[in-house]
Amino acid sequence: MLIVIPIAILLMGALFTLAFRNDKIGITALIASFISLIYVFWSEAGAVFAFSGWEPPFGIVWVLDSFSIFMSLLVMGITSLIVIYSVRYIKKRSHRYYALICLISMGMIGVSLTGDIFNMYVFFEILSIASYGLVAFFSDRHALEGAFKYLIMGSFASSFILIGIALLYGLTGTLNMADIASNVSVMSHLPPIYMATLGIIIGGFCLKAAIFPFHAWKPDAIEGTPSPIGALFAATSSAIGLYCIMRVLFLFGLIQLNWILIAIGVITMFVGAFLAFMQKNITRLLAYSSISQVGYIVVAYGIGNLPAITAGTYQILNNALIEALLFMAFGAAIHVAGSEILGKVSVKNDFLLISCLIGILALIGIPLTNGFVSKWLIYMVTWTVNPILTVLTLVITGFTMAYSLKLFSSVFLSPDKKTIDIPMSMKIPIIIAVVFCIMMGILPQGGYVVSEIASKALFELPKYIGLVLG
Amino acid sequence: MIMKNIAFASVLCIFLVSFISIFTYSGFGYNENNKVSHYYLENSLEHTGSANVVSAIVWDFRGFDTMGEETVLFTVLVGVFTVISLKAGEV
Amino acid sequence: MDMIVRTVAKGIVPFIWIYGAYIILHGHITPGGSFSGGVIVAAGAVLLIIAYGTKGAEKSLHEDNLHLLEALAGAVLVFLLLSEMFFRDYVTVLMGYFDIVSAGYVLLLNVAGGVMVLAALITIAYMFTRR
Repeated sequence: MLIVIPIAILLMGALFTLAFRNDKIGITALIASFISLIYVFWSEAGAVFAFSGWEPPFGIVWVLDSFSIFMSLLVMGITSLIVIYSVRYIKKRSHRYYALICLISMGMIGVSLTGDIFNMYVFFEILSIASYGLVAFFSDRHALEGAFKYLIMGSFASSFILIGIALLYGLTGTLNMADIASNVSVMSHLPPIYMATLGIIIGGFCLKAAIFPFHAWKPDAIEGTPSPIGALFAATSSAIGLYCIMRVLFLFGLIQLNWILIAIGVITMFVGAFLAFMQKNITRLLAYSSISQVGYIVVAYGIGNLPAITAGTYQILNNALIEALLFMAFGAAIHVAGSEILGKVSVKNDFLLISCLIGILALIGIPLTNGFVSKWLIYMVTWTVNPILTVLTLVITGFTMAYSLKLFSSVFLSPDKKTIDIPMSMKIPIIIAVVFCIMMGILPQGGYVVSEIASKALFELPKYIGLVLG
Repeated sequence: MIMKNIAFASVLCIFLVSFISIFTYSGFGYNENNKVSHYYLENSLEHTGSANVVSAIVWDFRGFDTMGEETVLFTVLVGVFTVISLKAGEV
Repeated sequence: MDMIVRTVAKGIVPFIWIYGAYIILHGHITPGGSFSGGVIVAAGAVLLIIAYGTKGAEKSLHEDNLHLLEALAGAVLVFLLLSEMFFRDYVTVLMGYFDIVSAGYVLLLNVAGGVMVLAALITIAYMFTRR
């Protein structure tokens, strides 16, 4: 019963922020919904809520699985950091910004918590359209071009997902996730039409996560946006896309060794790392590096057993923190220096130096940071499948080291630097992210246990079906 | 120039053939053992109070999706606001 | 615009609005409902904007009122949809008392949704014609 409160607060916040042109309403709505979300998960973990009182196969259900709780808490946490950061960053027309952030959070929470596949598509649409609006926020030339490219490609992806859902409804006769899973699991041999449907749906979600054939929108979109939105995109859009892919594979019972996913992940890592070398623009370089990091997660999810999925989920958590830290810290430098091109931004500020250094060390995977823990887990699980995969992953880590040191030395270690100063409200989220990175690097057990609980939910399909339909 | 046109036309043909074959194989149409639609047809008037089953499905059985669609409409409104409303000289 | 256009628009827009309201209110019996009815009402308002210009149409459809109307309709819609399982039986019996047969909850939801759609579309029309 209490599940609806965060969504209702966010929608009311968005509506009244636009009606009264006051951005405080939006900020209050976001913080209130985060607190109520934590309270709902504390009191009702593992519950099933049926909307309008109709029974599960005939109405819409929301299932609080542990994987869902993990994803929604992750995205709401990153959104809270972004909101604190952007109080000083966005000065003009800020009421529309906070209305769009309320809507994008509502979309992300809805996608994570739902147990009905068409409901997932509806909230995915809310998320996509709010992100088109956020990419075009500054309305200058780069932002509008990036937003237009993202709009066209995103609309294609949404159409593919809708066609896939329509096919799935025609084949199984129901739209409830647990009912689809129970209909599919009684067939011993899936006809090829199911594989085609699965391919269509996963192809649509791959675009949102910016995985290899569909990654082309990401650099242009992140280049024009404000830095907090770049952090939000790099951290959470791949998390939500991968959550949806894993959920659809979970329904079909296909969480096993998938060489297609491993191959796509390896190509994504290479493409992201190679193209990140040649960039002269700081935000484009960071965008390509986020594409490359998502490749690690896809490789880990492609190997199907429990340690690999735990490693991939832990990498999602760490990747979100590291990318948020990098975008926020470098965004502060860009915002004060006024330009984005490598070679024109050179700052001298001790706080930014330390935080960017920690972010880059975590990105590469140096010990004592959280990036090391999750990357080491990925090396270990790829070694059990095929040692060549581990060699490829290490090569890409070398590339990551190369371009990130190039970025760091150009911004912070060049001869002519000018001293800048950052407002306090931009420092607080960076401090929080740095503290989390170091803490999870020194004591990784907490994050590992959380990721393992979240990943165990992907291997218990009969328990899920019994929870919803039983 | 002509190679580009041939490539585009062939990709389009492969796309269309695969889509049409998928739709032929999957068997759209009336399915007797579809218990969800049977439940909707039987329980629409007495439990919902609405004679129009489409309205009952859109607003009552799956009303949450319709709320999501209205939110999409509102999001489009905010997105259009973000892009369009520039005063003269503002960037 | 021209005086002929203005006079004809002034005369025909109420009929368009009544027709749109008919489609919204009868959404539980005939095809239609909130989305199509809201679009028709918005089309009538767009005719007013074209005939009288943005400044003339603002005298009757001011933009801040539209934002407030949309927020209130959205609040009502969210409240109705999320409290449906408590109130559905009472509303069906209530509608039976007023002889609105075969209505139930769907009538109230149609009205709230229709108001939200028409507020959104008229605002978009204002955005596009204000230069």
